[in-house]
Amino acid sequence: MNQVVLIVAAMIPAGFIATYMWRALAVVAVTRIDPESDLLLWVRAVSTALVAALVMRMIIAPSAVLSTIAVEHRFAAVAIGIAAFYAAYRSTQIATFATVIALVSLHVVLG
Amino acid sequence: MGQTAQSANDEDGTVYDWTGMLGGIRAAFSLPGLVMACSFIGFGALIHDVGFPLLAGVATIPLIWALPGQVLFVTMWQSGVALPLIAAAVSLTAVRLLPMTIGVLAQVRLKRAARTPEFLLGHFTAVTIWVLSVTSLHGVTAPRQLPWLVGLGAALMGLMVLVVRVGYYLADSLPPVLAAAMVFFTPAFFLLSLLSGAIWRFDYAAIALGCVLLPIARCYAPDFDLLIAGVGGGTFAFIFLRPRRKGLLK
Repeated sequence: MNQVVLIVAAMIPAGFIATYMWRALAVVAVTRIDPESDLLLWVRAVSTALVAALVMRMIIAPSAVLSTIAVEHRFAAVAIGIAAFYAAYRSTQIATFATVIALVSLHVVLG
Repeated sequence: MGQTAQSANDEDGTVYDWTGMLGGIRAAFSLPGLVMACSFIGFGALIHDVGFPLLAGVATIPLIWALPGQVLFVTMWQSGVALPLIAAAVSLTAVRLLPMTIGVLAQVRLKRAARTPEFLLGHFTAVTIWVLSVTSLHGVTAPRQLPWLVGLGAALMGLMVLVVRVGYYLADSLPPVLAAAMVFFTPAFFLLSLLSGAIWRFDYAAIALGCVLLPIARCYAPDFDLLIAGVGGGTFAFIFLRPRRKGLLK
């Protein structure tokens, strides 16, 4: 329990404030900022690349549970998911399920 | 509700109609809500998997409310990364919420109403809310749109607090393949949301560079891999492929 209190105490600056500051700034800025200014476009690129990097890290350096599935199956499932995304007229929902179903099928069929 | 009455609201609306929350709460039980629930079941399985305490994992939901930041916080905390570095990485993934929140607010705020509810909606704004604000607000009158999204955000947040426990406790009893499938919802949903939100070539370049740079950065500086790949990849994409054709956002 002490550990939980410690983590939550750390989470307030490093999680809540670190995240909410951008939302609050958006509320303040919405009346005057251009969403296509160079600064915001750079911000968009960096946050996009950061989330992509996070995805890559979850795939190549997986948690214990995910490491039960071979790395080539993880990559193949992602490729199938991307194909499904375009085949299903850019539906994130359908493609997400397709990715996960592909992962399980690859593992079960190919071992 | 006649067309004149609605446009009068658009012009003169100074008060939000909070009965609009009900429609938003109902919309939480939809396909995007289901994908979100699966991602949070996966998040529950993930925190169990890395040995993060359940209650602290649950606390990330109301406090951070952005799954990439939550996953970063949990994984970096568990690998013993220094708190300022965790804060920097979480904050950098959250910067994407700035243009997203501006986009959502610009669509639903009443120009002459009180600003406080906007700070509330800002806290609820994340990928799923943004997607639904683009696709589901057509039939909702202007004074009800902000409350509609607040209701949606609050309902989703409440649901995810429940759902994350399912993943946490299932992680033990599920066959390993299914537990892995649950965990995989998160990266799959992140990557496909990035593709879905991509408009310009530099968006695609940022996605590709983030993926390619991560393993390289990981070799040289494992603690900074995400920051290097994110800031480096994003900056490269911005410098070389910055969009010239504008007016596509909003």
